[in-house]
Amino acid sequence: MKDKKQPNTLNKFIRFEQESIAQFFGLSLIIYALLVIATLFVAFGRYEKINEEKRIHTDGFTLVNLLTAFARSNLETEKRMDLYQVADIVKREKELHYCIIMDADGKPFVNFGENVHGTHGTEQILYNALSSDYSLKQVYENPAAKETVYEFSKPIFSGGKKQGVVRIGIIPRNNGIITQLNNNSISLALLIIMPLTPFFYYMFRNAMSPLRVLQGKLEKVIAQGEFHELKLQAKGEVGTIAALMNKIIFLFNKKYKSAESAKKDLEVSHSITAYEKNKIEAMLDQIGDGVLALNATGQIISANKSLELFLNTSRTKLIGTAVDESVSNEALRSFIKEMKNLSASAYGQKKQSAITHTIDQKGTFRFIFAPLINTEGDNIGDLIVIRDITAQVMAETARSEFLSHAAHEIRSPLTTIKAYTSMLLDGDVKDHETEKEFYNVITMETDRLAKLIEDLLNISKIEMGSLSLKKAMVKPLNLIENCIAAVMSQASQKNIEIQKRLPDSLSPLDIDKNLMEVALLNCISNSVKYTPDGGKIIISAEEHPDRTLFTIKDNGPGINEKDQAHIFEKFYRSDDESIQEQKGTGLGLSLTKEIITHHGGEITVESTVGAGSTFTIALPRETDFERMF
Amino acid sequence: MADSNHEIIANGKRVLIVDDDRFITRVLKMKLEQEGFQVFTAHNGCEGLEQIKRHDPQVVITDLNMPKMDGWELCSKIQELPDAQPNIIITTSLIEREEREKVKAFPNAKLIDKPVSPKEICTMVEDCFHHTVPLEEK
Repeated sequence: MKDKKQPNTLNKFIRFEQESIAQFFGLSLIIYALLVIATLFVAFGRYEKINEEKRIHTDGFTLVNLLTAFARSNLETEKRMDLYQVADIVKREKELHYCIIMDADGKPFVNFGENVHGTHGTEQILYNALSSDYSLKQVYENPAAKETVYEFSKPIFSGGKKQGVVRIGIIPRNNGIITQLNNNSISLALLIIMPLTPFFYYMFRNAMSPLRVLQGKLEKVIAQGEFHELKLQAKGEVGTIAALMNKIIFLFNKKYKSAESAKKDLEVSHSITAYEKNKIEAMLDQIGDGVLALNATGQIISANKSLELFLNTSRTKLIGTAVDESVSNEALRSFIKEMKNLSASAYGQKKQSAITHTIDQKGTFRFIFAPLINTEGDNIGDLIVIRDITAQVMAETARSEFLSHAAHEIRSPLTTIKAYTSMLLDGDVKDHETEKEFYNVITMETDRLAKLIEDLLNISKIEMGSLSLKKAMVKPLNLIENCIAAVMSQASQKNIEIQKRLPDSLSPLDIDKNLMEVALLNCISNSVKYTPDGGKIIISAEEHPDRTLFTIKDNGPGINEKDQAHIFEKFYRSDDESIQEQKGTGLGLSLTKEIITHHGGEITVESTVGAGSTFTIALPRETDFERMF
Repeated sequence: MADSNHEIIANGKRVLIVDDDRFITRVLKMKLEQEGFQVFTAHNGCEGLEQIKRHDPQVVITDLNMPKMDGWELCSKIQELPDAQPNIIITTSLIEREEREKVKAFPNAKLIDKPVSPKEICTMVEDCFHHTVPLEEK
């Protein structure tokens, strides 16, 4: 067996064909046989009939001769008994219908037969028999019994004179089955048809049933939508069809399986692609910059989370659309257009361009454009990165503002110094008093300038994070005393009373002595500066387990609520007249706050306009426990 | 004193100094008065405007960085005044070009950089008087 699959179907195929022919032949054969049998029936029946007639003919004449011969010798009355017995024996032995011996007048003196009373046959028959001088065969129908009677008659001659007639009647034997059957044509027909009918019916059903079965199976296949081989035992053409259908189903299944497998492969590769894409997208989503990717035709193929935030739209609305349609931001659109035009002329070169734009006043953004070039040097798309540089810009702005302020603040005392100096040099100052005043002013302004520069340096160090605290254990009381001493002359000039409410001792604090002195001095000198003549300043300190509090309270003009929110800001100075009257840089409190914050402390202000201000500085204390380490 | 004021106003070369820096104000006032000018002072733009309306100076020397109303605003307000426009000298420590360009909006104004010497200021004020509309002399 070379091919296992093939013969299976092929054999089936061949077998079905053969069976078909056999079927056909079988059918014809049977019909033929039946016809032959029928013909034989008829023929044989015919033959039987002829034979019977021949027998009757022979028997009849023989018997009638015999009887006549015997009768001739036994006519005398005394011998009639023998005749009588012989006739009886013959009739019985030979199964004659009747046996009649009549005299010349036709009067029977021996009558054996069914009708003992009358003569058999018609008048005519009787007459013929009586009148004939020879043996005679006559055939007539007995209407009553529907039988054919063969009569043989012979006259009895004795001494040359007709003494009588012997008559015998014979009915043919209907004991041939076939004859019987033949005689009955209906039963013959039935005999032929009857076995045929169920046969035909069976054949027909047999032929049809596989077709029905096939139909049923096909309908089932369609209903289920599944393609399984038809399990059909069928012969002939139906079987052939079934086999062909099975073949088709087999081929279809094969194709279907390969398509399914191809589909699965495609799905897998899709999943992989999607996974890769998701991975990349997930990575892109982590980037703070907005990333927008376009394909070669300008359609958006990727947009990360940050971009969604910047443009205030969802990526589903962006992906797949043309940039012009979905990006509402004018600046971005025109940027991309401009860059696309550039990149077309700079074919093959990797190009980056950066322009700064604002998006909806929400901030400042930098756009970066990079064309994507593949290994063949074709432009397969573009990448646009949007970076939020608002913080940077703000920082730069703040820095330039700071510088601008600082420059202004520095110029101010310098201007004064120069003006006063030139007046003196030009000899415009005539009187001595004014001259002294001028020198004082110059000195003061020089000092102010020096302090300002110091403050500026400290502030910028703090801003840049390069301020390092030189910490040491410092006695706070000493610090306070130093500050008070520094402002004493100014205070006494304005008749301001400085009251000390300090405990006898305060635990040392781990602080930078110089910077903390600057911080405290700023507060105290502020109070002295802004408290009008005759005012009072109370400086107190309080020690708590975790912190030490310093309070500077004055009865100056106070700070209004609006200003309270800003006084710790760099360069901030109140618009208030009484404040503006005094010279100030606006840096003092800002620096103080920075220094205190760097020590881990806190500064707060309480103030009411017209009632004075209270500044509270809290510095953390090292606990005994901490100090051990 | 109304009469003498009136006299003064009618005959003098009037200069207004608008600056929140008292030292500068003092020294400029001193110098200018020495040179025979009548000097008024103001500490901010609002005060300055009031003084202009009251005394009608021919020259206004103003700082830019002042509370309540700064120098630029003062210049704008001066332009809106219906009467003859004074000359404006703006003392400035500004270095940004865009800011300095603002002076072009005021044809009567010019800039001078700080630190200023009183002598320079004086010269500038005198120049103004030589080029402006003749004084009202009553």
